[in-house]
This record gives sequence, C-alpha cells and structure tokens, in this order.
Amino acid sequence: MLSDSNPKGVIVTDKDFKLPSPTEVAVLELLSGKEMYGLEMVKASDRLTRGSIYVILNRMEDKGLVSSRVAETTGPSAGRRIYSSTGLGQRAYAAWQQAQAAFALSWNPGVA
Amino acid sequence: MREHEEQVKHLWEVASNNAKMLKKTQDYLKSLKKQISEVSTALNAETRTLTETEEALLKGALVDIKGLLEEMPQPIRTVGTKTVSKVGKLRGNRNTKSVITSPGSLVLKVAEFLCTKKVYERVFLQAVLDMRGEYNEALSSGRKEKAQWVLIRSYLALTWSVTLQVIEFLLSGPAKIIKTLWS
Repeated sequence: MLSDSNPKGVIVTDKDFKLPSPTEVAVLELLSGKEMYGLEMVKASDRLTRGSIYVILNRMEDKGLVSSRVAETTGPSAGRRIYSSTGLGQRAYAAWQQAQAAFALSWNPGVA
Repeated sequence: MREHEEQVKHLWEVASNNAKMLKKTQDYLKSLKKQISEVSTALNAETRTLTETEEALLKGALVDIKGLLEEMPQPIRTVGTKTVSKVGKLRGNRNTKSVITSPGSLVLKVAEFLCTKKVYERVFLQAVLDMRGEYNEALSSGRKEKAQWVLIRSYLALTWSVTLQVIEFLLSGPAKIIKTLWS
C-alpha cells in the first residue's frame, strides 16, 4: 500500500520501499503537519547538523519523502527553499513508528 | 553586465551616503555632549549654582546622548572578506578595481560550475543563503565576533556538505550499475 509517485513522476512501490534512516526519521518527525526551512530544522533538532541537512533533504526529495518550494520572499533570503512532507513521507514515518513499536514489544512482550 | 555594474555603483553610493550621515550624526552628538559638560562645569564654577531643575535637565540630556551613541551602529570596517577601502572600485574597469562580494560567493561560483543545477540549488545555495542570513543578522546587531564565528562555522559546515555530496555521488553511480546488472 505504500505506493506513491515522487515529484519526478516515478512510481514508488512496496518492492522499492525501504524504511527511512534515523536522520530521515528526524526530518519527517519535524515536518509532520508543517513546513520548515532547513536551518529551522537544524535549530529544532539535536540530530541534524548544518553540514548534513541539505544533503539529507536532497536525498529525501529524490526518494519522494519530502517536497520543497522556493519561499516567496524578497531580499537577501530570496531563493530559500521551504520543505514539507509528502504523502509517502508521512506513510513512511508511520511505518517506522509501527516497526519501532513492534520491535519494542518483541523485546518486552509483557508490556503491551 | 553593464546594468549590474550600474546597480552596484548605485548601491555603493547609497551605502557611502548612509555611512557619512552616520558619522556626521555621531560627531555632532559627541560635540553636543562635550558642550553640555563644559556648560555644566562653567555654570557650577560661577557664583550661581545650578537649580535642581536645570541640573536634572542637563543630566537627562547627557544620559539621552550617551544612550543614543551606544545604540547607534558602528560604521562597518569590513564587509565580506575585503576592506571598505576597496569598495566602490569595480572589477572590470582597468584601474585595478574590485567589488565587495557577499560571503560564500566564490563557493557558489565553484559549485555552479562543478555540480548539477539541482544539487547547486538544493544543497549549496541553501547552505550559503543560511550563512548570509545569520552573518547579516549578527552584523546588524553589532556583534562582529559572532559574525566571524558564523562564517567559520558555516564554511566548516559547507566543507562537510561537499564531503557528503561527493560520497553520495561516488556511491550512487556504482549502486545504479550494480542494481541494473542485478535486475
């Protein structure tokens, strides 16, 4: 059910789908339900760094997990991109949460 | 190119005028402060001492001027990596002229030349815009040391971005080939 098309129009199917990496999860967690700039994400998270954030976002955009648009501002900050989670990204995050819950349950079967 | 040069000239003239005005205002406030101090001392030395109201007024004026002088931004000595003395001289004219560039301009030029448009716009341009935003914010609040620190930190981050991007590029090529062969 995890099929979706990324901005390039490439269909991502269950076969291609991989759980997001921990840094990608950190990004998806921040982007759940809102749009953010890269620097905002770095400031809001302990896991993300200035040096890696745009490389990660670029990779995630290629995978179709996030999408971006150029923010409508003028002046020196013109051209900055604002990021949001795609449908596939949201489902990937949900799948990761379920996997975490299942893993925790397998370690502590008594705790339901 | 010509239009760009005209724009830079115009911006430089505006900035120069602003800097001159700022300097003039600061000088005027300083001279005013000196005059008030002198008048205050002279009046105290005369037979008549200052009334409480007069003294309060003078003290208030001195405090106001001191506050204004502290609040006013200091004229910026350096912008980017070149000194102000070089500002206004345009590169391209033959009289050894150069223009001030924003931080990260060289990085962007190199990245634009070496990388794809997508990587340039999504990775390097964004990192440099962040750097400029933070740098300008620090400068406008008069914290030069912080501005310098922002530059150092941002250039280190950019170096790390370049490293990661190169690793991704090196890994993505062979991975695609192996995947194609495998399938």
